[in-house]
Amino acid sequence: MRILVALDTNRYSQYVVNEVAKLAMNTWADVTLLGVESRKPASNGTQPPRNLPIVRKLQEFREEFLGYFKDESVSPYAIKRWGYELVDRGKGLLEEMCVCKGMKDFRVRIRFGQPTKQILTEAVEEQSDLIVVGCSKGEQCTWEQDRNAPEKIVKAAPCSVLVVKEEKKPTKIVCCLDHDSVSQESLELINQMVTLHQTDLALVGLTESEHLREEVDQKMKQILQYYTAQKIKAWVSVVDVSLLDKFIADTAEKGLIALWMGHKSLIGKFFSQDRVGKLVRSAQSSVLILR
Amino acid sequence: MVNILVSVNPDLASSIAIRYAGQLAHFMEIALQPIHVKEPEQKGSLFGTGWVRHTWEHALAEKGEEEINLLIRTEKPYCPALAAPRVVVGERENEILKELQTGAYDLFMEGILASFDEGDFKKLITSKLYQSAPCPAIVVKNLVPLEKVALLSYVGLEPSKLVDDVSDILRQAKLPLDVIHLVPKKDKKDLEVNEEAHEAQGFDNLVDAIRKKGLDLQKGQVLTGHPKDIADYLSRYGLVVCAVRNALDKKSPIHTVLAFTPSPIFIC
Repeated sequence: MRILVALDTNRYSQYVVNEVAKLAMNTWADVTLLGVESRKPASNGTQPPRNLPIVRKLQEFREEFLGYFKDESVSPYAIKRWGYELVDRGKGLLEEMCVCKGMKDFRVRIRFGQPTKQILTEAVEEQSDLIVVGCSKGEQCTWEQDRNAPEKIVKAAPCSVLVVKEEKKPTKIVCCLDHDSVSQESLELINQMVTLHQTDLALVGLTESEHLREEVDQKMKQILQYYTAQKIKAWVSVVDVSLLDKFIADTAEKGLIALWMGHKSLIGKFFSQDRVGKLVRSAQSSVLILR
Repeated sequence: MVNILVSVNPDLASSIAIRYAGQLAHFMEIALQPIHVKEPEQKGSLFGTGWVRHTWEHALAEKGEEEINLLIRTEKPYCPALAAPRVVVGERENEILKELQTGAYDLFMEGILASFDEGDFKKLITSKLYQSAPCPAIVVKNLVPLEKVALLSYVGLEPSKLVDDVSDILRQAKLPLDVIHLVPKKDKKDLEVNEEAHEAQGFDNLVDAIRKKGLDLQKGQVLTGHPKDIADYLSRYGLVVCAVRNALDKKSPIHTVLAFTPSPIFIC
């Protein structure tokens, strides 16, 4: 799994780094910490990049993240091998440099430009499986340079997105399903979230006119068996699409909502992009959009 | 021996109900008779008469039998007490009631997935089947480990009605029993759990009735809070017993508690 962690200098970003470190401990994911600065510093040396607040903050976050993996003998990010690699230094210059690597990739990157665009470009170029982005828990997200960045990322991302609300522990992970093509990766991601937060899992099947489609029923059965085998307590229930808005609003108060928004999903049809944005803005705890 | 009729369909809810019955079998001797009612797609008077109708019903029952046999084969290892299924064609409620009335069953059981719409549960327990069934019923919403049982009490409950219906089955199960007195209040933010249950109205009468029947009472509690919070609290029980048949007003908040309780519910 490749996780892209989009960070700014707000306090919630530190919480995000801690949460991702815990997730990475379980998954041994490739991790990229990404900061975005609106303008590239002048190349004449009057403002060295190292003095940018986001650069200093990312250095702190790097230490914070690696601090979770103190035992280097078992850390997937401890430097275990090195070698010479050709590195593009720009302006048509390639240079062979000595590069040190761990078992898993861990990168810290800074991009310049509009935050949402840069984060999405990074996710596409690096083929990320999951974008993790922080957000303040009130209606007004305080993401630097663009208050609506988390919402825009959720709507446009090509992969799953986890919006982590500032220091809000969910009491339940509520996973909404409405079709039968649920990927193994998404099941494992939910598995990791349940383990991480030590919460119960609720599997919610979406019904239409009080009818749960046979293939969804069968998929829920398989998923229940999967989680039971993993020793995870999963509660099952159903909700009619006509009540989906109310259900999400109720559930988002306390639980982490995981919505499957793949192209086959009815949730995408009934739960419009604007509502997704509203959910990200108003939810009191984290939101996971699965793709 | 507790004689149970379980209504089955080829779906997740039935699979959960059968596995839950398998858990019950660890605590008491049970006989589990599955019944599948194949409803004709066209409601109202059934197709044709005489030989035509008989042949048509037979074909429909055979189709239902195939679907159900697959479920029974899959679930049998989880519940060895499961008998061969009975497949009938007709209107579901009527056929199950007919079977319950002629078959000398002690308990009716069915799997129904918990719904966010509390109206679904109200509709279920006020249905003809649940109101007229000659025995109590268990609505299995989730497969929960059967470790302890909650017996629900509320203002206006007639203790003898509750205890008479459940005592035989609970005595055989020998499971630890908690009596929970419910005080649902929609405007209350946090759930209040009071261990001084004897202060609740009618609680002592219920405890006396339970002890007279020789049941293993562990503790009593009063839960005061929003019906949904009470329902969440009850999820720690493997079985929640409540007297609701012909006993509650349709608008009672106890219905809301039961609708949102994810554990299996014993209705008497």
